[in-house]
This record gives sequence, C-alpha cells and structure tokens, in this order.
Amino acid sequence: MNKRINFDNLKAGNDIPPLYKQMTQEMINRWADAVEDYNPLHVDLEYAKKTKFKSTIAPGPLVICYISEMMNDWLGIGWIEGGKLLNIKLIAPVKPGDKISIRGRIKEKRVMKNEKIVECDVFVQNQDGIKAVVGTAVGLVK
Amino acid sequence: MEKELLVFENLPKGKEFRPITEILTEEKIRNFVQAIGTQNPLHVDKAYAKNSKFGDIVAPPVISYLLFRRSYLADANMPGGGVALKLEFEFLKGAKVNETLITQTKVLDSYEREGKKYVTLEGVTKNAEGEKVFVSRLHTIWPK
Repeated sequence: MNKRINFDNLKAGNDIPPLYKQMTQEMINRWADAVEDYNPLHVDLEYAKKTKFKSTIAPGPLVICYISEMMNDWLGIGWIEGGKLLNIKLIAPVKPGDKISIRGRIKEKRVMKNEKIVECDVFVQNQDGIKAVVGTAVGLVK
Repeated sequence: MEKELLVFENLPKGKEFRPITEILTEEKIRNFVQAIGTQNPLHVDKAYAKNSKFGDIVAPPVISYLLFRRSYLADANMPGGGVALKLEFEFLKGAKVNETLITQTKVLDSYEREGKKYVTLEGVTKNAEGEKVFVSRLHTIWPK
C-alpha cells in the first residue's frame, strides 16, 4: 500500500492499481448510519422496488469514496494533502449485488512550483462494463 | 422539534450557513472508516500512523463529505428527490484524531432554468488554526 512511486517512471496511459468491491445492502446501510442519510431509495427495499430502479441503489457519495480510497492507496500522503476529485459525475446506479471495479488512468503529469502532479481519469464500472461514476482525480507524488 | 425542509427559496446565491464545529474523535474516524470499508493503515493502524508524517491516525479525506452535509443540514432537512449532478473535493491537509474542524457552507450559485432549480453548495472546512483542510462542492438539481 502506497509504496514509494517514482514520478519519472509514470507515463500518460498508465493504469492506477484498481480496487474491486461487491456492493451489498449492508454496506449501504452502514453508510446511511454514518452520514445520517436515510433516503428510502437507498435503504427501503419496498419503496425502492416501486421506483424506476426497481431496487435500492448505493448513494453516489459512497461510490465516490471508493475512488478516493483507490487514490489514497496509490498516492498516500500526496492524496491526503493535495488530492482533488473534480467534475465527478454520477451517471448510472450501483445496486446491491453489483460487482464494481474502481479504476483510473494517468492522463498527464506535470511539475508546478516544485510539486509533482498527476492528473488521472477515474471511473467506477459494474460487471457489465457500464460506467456508474466518472471524473478526474489530481494528486501529488511525494 | 422537527426541522424544516431546506427549500430552494431559502437558498439564494451568496447565502452562508452557520459554521459547525466537530471534534474528530477516534470513534468518529473509526465509524467513517467502517462505513467506507478502507483498510489503509494511515486510517486504521495507530502504530503505523505514528511513524507517518502525521504522527497519529488521520481521517480518510472524504470525511469532508460528512462534515459538509452536516453543515448545510444543521438546521433543516433535505427534501427528497434531488439529483446530484456533480461533486468535487479538495483535500489540503490531513485531519488527525481529536482535531477541531469548523465547516461552513455557502451557496455558490442558485438559479432556475426551464423549470428546474439548480443549486451549487460549497463547504470549506478549516482547522483550529484557521488553515483550510477540505473544500467540498455539490452541484444539484434541487427537489423543491
């Protein structure tokens, strides 16, 4: 976990080490308790069955947390002090049972004011290859 | 007393919510860590974290979302049915166990277009020294 990264070896197109998770209702419920958000679309199965999603769906911010976790595991301190998640869009639902992969790819690297910066395309996709969350992550290599 | 709903009419551009103060106890960090399932030793392993530049456990930076949400919902409840269009976060400083964090949210933008109500909120979290720790932004279609 966050082994020292050699900035010189990073190239546009390189993949970030991905994360894999399977969404469960229990994970959604734990999140709901932590943030005190009991939107029935996330926690009430009977209610959610009657919506267009036909099931509960994971709260978007929970799924975004997984992108941050991937960046954190990769960059360590350079994420905790210098990370940015930009233009993160929720484009499809993640449902209980979905096997998701959390991925990213380096778009560009640059040095500004002596800081080594990596800019990455990041996304979360389900087992069918459908992207649920997309955006940009910018972090520092320290 | 049941809190009122936070409706669009009460979200004019420039509005500032009152700041909220939270002490980031070890228990709060642990609860959040369990909610997101991370096992990064900087967040869960005290001995490991002691030897890091922080000298103690730090919160996963996305805890900023929790502080942000609490700050704009301190006095009102969220109406159901909104759509989160976009979220953005900036993590500037590690937030350690027992740090005091003060979060204040401002309405960056608020307008109606084609019958839809658009609201952008920005929460800034600072530490006791007044240094910025997190910035969180939420672009939404507001439900009511």
